[in-house]
Amino acid sequence: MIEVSRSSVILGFVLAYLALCVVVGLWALRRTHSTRDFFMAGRDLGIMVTGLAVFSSTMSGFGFVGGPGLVYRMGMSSVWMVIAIPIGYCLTFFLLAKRIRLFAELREPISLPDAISARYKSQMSRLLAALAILLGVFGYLATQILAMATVLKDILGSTAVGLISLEACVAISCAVLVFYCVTGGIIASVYTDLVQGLVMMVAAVLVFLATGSAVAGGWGGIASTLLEDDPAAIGPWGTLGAFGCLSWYFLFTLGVAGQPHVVTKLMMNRRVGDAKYILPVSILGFAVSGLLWISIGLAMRTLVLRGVHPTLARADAAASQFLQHYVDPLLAGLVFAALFAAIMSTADGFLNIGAAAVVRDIPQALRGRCVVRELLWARLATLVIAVVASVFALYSDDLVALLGAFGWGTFAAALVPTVAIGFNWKRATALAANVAMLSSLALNFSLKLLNIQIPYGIDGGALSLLVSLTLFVGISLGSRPPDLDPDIDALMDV
Amino acid sequence: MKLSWILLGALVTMCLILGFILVGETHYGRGIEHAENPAMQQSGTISQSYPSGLWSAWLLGSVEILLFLLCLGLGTQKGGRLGRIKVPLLVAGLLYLTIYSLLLVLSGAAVDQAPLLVFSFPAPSVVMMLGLWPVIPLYLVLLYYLKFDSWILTPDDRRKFQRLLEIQRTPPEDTS
Repeated sequence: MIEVSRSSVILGFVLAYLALCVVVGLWALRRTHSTRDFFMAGRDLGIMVTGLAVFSSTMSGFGFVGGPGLVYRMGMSSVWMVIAIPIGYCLTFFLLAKRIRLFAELREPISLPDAISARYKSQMSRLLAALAILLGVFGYLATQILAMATVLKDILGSTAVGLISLEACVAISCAVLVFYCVTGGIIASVYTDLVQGLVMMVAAVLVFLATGSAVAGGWGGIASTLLEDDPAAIGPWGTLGAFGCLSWYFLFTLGVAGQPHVVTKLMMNRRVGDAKYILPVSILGFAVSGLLWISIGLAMRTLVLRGVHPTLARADAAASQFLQHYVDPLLAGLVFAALFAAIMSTADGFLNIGAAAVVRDIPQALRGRCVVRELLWARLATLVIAVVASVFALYSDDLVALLGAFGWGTFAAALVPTVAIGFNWKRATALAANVAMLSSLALNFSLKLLNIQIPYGIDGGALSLLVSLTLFVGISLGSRPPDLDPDIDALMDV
Repeated sequence: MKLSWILLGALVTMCLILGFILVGETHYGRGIEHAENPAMQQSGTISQSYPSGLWSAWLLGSVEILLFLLCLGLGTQKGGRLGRIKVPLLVAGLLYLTIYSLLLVLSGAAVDQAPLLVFSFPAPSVVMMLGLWPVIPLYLVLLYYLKFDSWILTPDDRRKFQRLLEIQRTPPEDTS
């Protein structure tokens, strides 16, 4: 009876949150009048909205479900991702916040490949960037939808509603996601991000505080149990080891500047000068919500090692098991709402940039013009991408895992050289950008498809990023300096 | 020397260090399955390989830090010059390298003896959590905030950009 009551409270929170998303979608629909509104939020976002949208779209289902799971599995190893991303935000703002925002005002690009094509004067660069984004989007989106459906299924399974199939949960997740993204485009996405960001921060602090009391002996008890089992697991490198952790650190620090859902948000703020206020908001948000990533993973590892909780079949269950059994149901409900928030904010951002790739960038690269009635097609493309990603999530488990696991690496290796370096360096050439993007896709996919393991657990995405960066800089320095358009040339001097 | 050549040098150095670490290595370093909890890992032989790997880890991490600094420099340079922001960036680099080196030194010390505990946690983990995590981003955020108007986007930059926008938006003259 008590368990049903706990589950009902949790379910109530989740349903209330999903209803809030629908309301935001309807509100945003009234504010979306043009393609620019749909993809770029009319470039009219305030400081808090942009700052929270940047961090909450980074802290995806991977952060809220996969993060604690990784800590449960490997100890402290994945903490290198948590400490890398705030420095990554700094790098991204130093490199792109001013440059890409001024570029957006000057050339009015609707998408990132749009901006890349203008910078390099190359339709091939536009096509390769759009393909890299689309491939990354399918993998990331499928993973997000599957994570959301899995959590929904777990919650519903312990309520009076009873067991519902995973297919039905995927359909529900996909429908809610598509509704507010199709109706409101990026305006719905970023304003939902605002709510989501706030919910995530509050939830993370409360869970961090609750963790100490949920485990006997508090944080000292957690540390002594983990030390007794395996001192290295609670050491700075966890069970992965130094080189694997450093490869993650490299990928997740530099890689932020190649995440299209982050970079496009930097084009949307109202004034370029707002960037100096947006950066602290984004960093604070991520640092605070990172507490949840670490605390749940360590607490769950301790509880299982002590025999207080049965061993987990899958490490990814760490977050949902901890919340359902060791946290006040009101707080658990809030965290589950935050969990959905994290998943949905990332997923809707991806739907948006995926739609832009399909409707604008690929047709423009191939035919030299966009589709007619772009807004309508953008909404249809959003629907189709979500449905295709849902089908991937359900029926192509291997492919979803394959694409989801290296989605970040795919984006980073393809776009960090081309965007983060190329928009700050006049000498960068289109040939170098194209070779960097092609090599990153080829190396990433080869490593995964052929299941090639790199010694010491070094991440394939990090290796791809290093190779693509080296090729990009080397080829650019070895080529004749490009002839830039006069306005781009002048802009890069600002 | 131009920033771009230093960047290429740092990237090639990182490739060489990684090559040196990886060539002939068959140790996959992914830990071993926990004896009682299959979804959990233990470090296995990783901890034994620490002493020989620490120097390589220091080199690899230091080159990564250098790369991050070069990227910060690339984002703030004007016409290839770093100007007044060079000193705060160098301070950031030194601070970064000091904290990272401390983490490595404490990790090395923990191999041969019982780990030094701070707040019940191993000292190198505490350096990572309370040093690398908050200190470097905090310093960089402050630098970005304080130098934004005087170096990153100066009033002169704003005027240049406004002129650029006006030229861009002026319709071309009819010469027919």
